[in-house]
Parts: sequence; structure tokens; C-alpha cells
Amino acid sequence: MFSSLLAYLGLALIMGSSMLLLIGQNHRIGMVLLAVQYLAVFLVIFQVWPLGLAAVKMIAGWMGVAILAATLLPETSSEDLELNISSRLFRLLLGVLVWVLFFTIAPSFARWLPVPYVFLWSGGILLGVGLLQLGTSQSPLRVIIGLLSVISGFEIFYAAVENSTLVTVLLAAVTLGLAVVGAFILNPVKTEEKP
Amino acid sequence: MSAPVLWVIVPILAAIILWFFRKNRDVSFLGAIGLTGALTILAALLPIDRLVSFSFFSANLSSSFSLLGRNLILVDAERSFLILAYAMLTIWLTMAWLGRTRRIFAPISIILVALMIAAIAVQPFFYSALIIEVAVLLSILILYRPGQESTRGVLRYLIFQTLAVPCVLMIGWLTEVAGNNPTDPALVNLMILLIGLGFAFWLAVFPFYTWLPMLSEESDPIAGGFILGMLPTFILFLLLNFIDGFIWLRDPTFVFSIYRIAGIIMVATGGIWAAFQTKLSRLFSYAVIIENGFALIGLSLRSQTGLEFFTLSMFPRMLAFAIWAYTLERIDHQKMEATLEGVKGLFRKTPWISLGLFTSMASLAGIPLFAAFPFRLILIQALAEQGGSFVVWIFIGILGFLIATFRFGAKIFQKPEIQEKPWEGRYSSILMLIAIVSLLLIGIFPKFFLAGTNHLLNTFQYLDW
Repeated sequence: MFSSLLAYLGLALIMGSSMLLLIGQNHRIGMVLLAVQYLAVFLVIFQVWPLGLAAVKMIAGWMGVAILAATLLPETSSEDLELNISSRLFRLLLGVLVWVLFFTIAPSFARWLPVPYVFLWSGGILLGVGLLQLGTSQSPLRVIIGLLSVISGFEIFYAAVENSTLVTVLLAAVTLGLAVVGAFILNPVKTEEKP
Repeated sequence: MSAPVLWVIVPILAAIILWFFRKNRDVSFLGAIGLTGALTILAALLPIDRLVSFSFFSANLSSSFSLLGRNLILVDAERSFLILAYAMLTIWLTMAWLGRTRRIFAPISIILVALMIAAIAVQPFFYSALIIEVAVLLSILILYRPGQESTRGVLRYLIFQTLAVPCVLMIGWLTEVAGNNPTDPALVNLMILLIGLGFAFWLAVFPFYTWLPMLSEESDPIAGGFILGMLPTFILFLLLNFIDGFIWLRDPTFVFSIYRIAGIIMVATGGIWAAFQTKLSRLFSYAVIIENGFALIGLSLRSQTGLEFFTLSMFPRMLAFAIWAYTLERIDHQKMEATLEGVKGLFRKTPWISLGLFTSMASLAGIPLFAAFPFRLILIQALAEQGGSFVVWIFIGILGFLIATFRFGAKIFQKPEIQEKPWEGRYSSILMLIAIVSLLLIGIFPKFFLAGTNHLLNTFQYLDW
């Protein structure tokens, strides 16, 4: 019962953090929200996975957030994240549409993925909102956040059906790799030029 | 020792060591060229799972290697692919060395090829998705030039390649649930949809190919050419592995119709867009789209002819891409613009680079006597026998690329308005001469030079169409 409550808390956090990431404009708050998102993923996955294995996802995610956050220096402007009011409203509506979509089609999904609905809702919403981030922005930071969200959403689905250690390790490597690539693109260090 | 250790683990470890020597460009590149050359020769000499004795030692390379509970398996029939992969890598590294590409290219390119071979060798196949994703993430290090302003191409490349991962991993789980021969038609359709989406993202199949011209324009010519030229070949080989491995992907005829339609759209649209290009870097990406389209059409024939086209055309295609990328790098190095106007009179300044550029374009356009021509002819004949109306669209695509080739060719061989001093280096000339002669010889005697690549088909047990 308690773990089920935690999963629903995870779902609520996923809904809130992913939506705020979609419409947010401040990169520092964005990093905090991304960290909350990984905590939420842990709360959901913890239902079906041992604590240690579930914690791997959260720690890998937080490490990724730390890498990205370290790249965003205090003087870095949030200019590329800025959105006008109509754009924020449009994104908000699209985000709500994704919520409605996944709450509606979860029973159909359950035919193929026989897992508790909370997994389908959390994974689907994270995946859908991540795709929205990718589809509505060309800002490198938003793209990396979008990709991390898509992978996290998929990890929730996948955790319910597969608990292989190798897959967990490789997915953690992908999460960290995406963060490193994001850091590389956001703040490239001119270490080597053509001779 | 096992084959996966020799051709996957050893190169990765060696590349990590080479990373520490990257300050010294010549040591880094020559070490990398020596390593990949040695791996090519070893792939040609050492059979897998068979004892081989030389006068002073004997060795038996086993085909399997266990890693974190999963197996990497390379069988003897795959040696042709190993030879092809490492030989092409040696050529790319030589061009990158002579072309003054960034030093980081040497270790990263070796790790990329080793990872792609690991993706083909890993059992079950689905883990290949994660290995390829790791390779894609690493490739950003050579594709993205620090400080470059535009990141759209790199980001789109990253997005599409990453989106393929969930699709292919889900197939792994669905196969576990349903077995290798699922009976529920709805489940089969879902699996085909997921795998189709996964490979469409990886291979930049229509309509997911918008990132190709952007990436080609933004990135370093040799690094971009290497990724765009090599990655699809590995992915196509992986696709054949999947088709060979699953009866639900091998049997339904509509799947092959989808390959055909996607391939024809890629050839036709790629050719039409190519005709209007004024930048050589963007034209390069349309050549990649057309080649991937032809590979899919070859696969869709569901016949031995189609498979032979698929394997025999691998080397000429990759060689032509390598030459093209090298010439682009040379033009870029001279601070010239690789555009229709920029290459005006190029032949007078640098005859061998110009000839190399034109030869690679002519080969990819399928002009007679050049490397791609014999295979294209066989493919189009086979396609016409199966369904004639599609051939018209292929001709439109080829015509579009031919127009582009002759437009650029006319400018390259035009007399320049201002006579400039030639700037061609001796090594570049020799390299171009060898490359041009190779493309011509392959075009004139295709079976003689490419007989070895046909052994690749022995890898696939069930593709006996």
C-alpha cells in the first residue's frame, strides 16, 4: 500500500516537473526540476525493482543533472530558454493534451504491456512531454532535457518488464552520455583546433 | 583468445592508449593506421573457430566472448565484414591524417568501428541498440567542432538516433513474450512497426532524413563523411541480421514492399533535391540518402540478386564517400568555398583533387565504367522484372544526381577567371591517383575485385531466397 502511494506520488511529481520543464524559462530551476523528475522515476520504479537497482537510475540521473548544471555557469543567460506568453500557453495546452492522451489510452496499452496503470501513465507522460520538448524547441538545453525525459519515460515502461543489470548499466551510461554531450555542446572548450 | 576480443576489445583498449598520444598528431594517426591495418590483415589471415598453424606458432580463435552475462559472437563468415570495416577505417584514417583532421578523430573512429562490430556481434541482438547509442554519443565528439555556431544538424542527428533505442529495445521484450514465431497478427504488426521505426530513425529513411544535409554542412568534412558513410553500412548489416533472425520479419511480403517504397522515395526525392544543390557538402548527404535508398531496394527484392547487390556495393560506396569527403576537406583547408561557384576552375589549381571529386560523384551517380555502375544495372534489371512502374522513379532520382554531377563537373573543369598557383601536395596526388584507379578497376572488373565481399552472405543462415 505504502509503495503504491509512493508510485502515485512519483506520478504527480512527473506530471508537475515535466510540465514545468516544458514551459519553464530559467535554466537553474530547470536543473532542479530535472533532478525532481529523476527522484519521481525512482519512486515509480521502486515498486517493481530492488532498492539498489532502482537507485542506480536516480543516481545516474542526478549525476547527469550535475554535469549539465556545472556547465551552466552563474553568468550563463537563460536567453535561449525564453518563451513568450502565447508560446508558453501553447506548450501548456499541448502538455495537458499529452496527459489526457495517456490517461485515455493506457487501457489499450495494457493489452501489450501488462503492468500497473501507474507505470503506463508515468512512462507515457514523461515520454510524451519529452517528445514535445524535442518537437517544439531548437535550444540545445531543451533538446537534451527532452531526450533525457524520453529515455526516462521509456525506462519506466521497460523497468516493469525487464530488470537485467546489463541493460540498467547501459541505460545509465546513455543518460550520463547524453548529459556529457549536452555539456560539450552547451559549453565547448576549445582544447584542440586544426593544426 | 577469442575473435570479439581481437576485433572489439583490443581496438578499444588501443584507442584509449592512443588518446594519451593525441598531442603528437603523427604518432596518434600513424599508430591508428598501423593498428587498423594489422587488424585488417589478421581478419584476412586468421580463421575463426579453426586451428591455424604457422611455422613458429599455432592459434585457435574462438568465436564467442562473454561480457557481463551476454555474449559477443563473431563467426568465420563475418570475417569478410571485419576486413571491409577495418580496411575502410584504415583508408579513412589515412585521409584524415593527410587531410589534417582534428587529432581526436584517430582514437574516436577506432572506438566507433569497434562498437559497431560489437553491436553486430552481441547476442541477443537487442542490446545492439544501446551499444549503437553509446557510439552515437561518442561520435558527437568528432562531429561537433568546438565553438561552431550552428548545432541543428548535430542535435537532430542525436534526437533521431536516440529515438531508435526504445523502439528496438521494446522489440527485445516483445520477442521474449511472444517467442520467435508469434501467432497474434496484431502483435506481429506492432513488432514490425516498432522495428521499422527503429531502423527508419537509424538509417534516416524518408521522412526522417532532414538532419543529413544539416549535419553534412555543419561538421568537419572527414568526420561527417565518416559517420554518414560508415554508420548506415553497419546498420544495414544489422538489419540483415534481424531479418535473418526472426521469421516474423522474414516472411510477411508487405514488409519488403515497405522497404521498396521507402527506398524508391529516398532515391527519387534524394535525386530531385540533389539536382538543385549548390553546396558540395549538402550534395554529399543526398548521395548518402540515395545510396541508402538503393540498399533498401536491394533488400526488398527478396532474392539472391538483391542480396548480392547489397554486399557487393558496400565497398565501392564507402570508398567513393571517403574520396569525396577527403576532397571536401582539402577544399575547406584552402579556405575555398565548396559551392558551385567556389569550385570554378578547380581543375587548374588542383587536378588530382578535382579528378578525385568528380570520379567519386560519377561513381555514386552510376556512370558506366565507374564502380557503382555494374551493381546498379543488375539492381534495376531485377527490379524491372518484378514491377516495372517503380523503375521510372529510380531513373528520375538517378537523373537528378547526374544533373548535379555534370553541373559541378562543368564548373570544376571550366577555365578560371584568375589564374592561381596550384596548391596540390604530393601525397594527396598519390592518394587520389590510387583511389581513382581503384574506383575504375572495380567498375570494369567488379566480380574480380569484390569476390570476397560475397562471402558475407554466408553469415545469414535463413536468407536463402
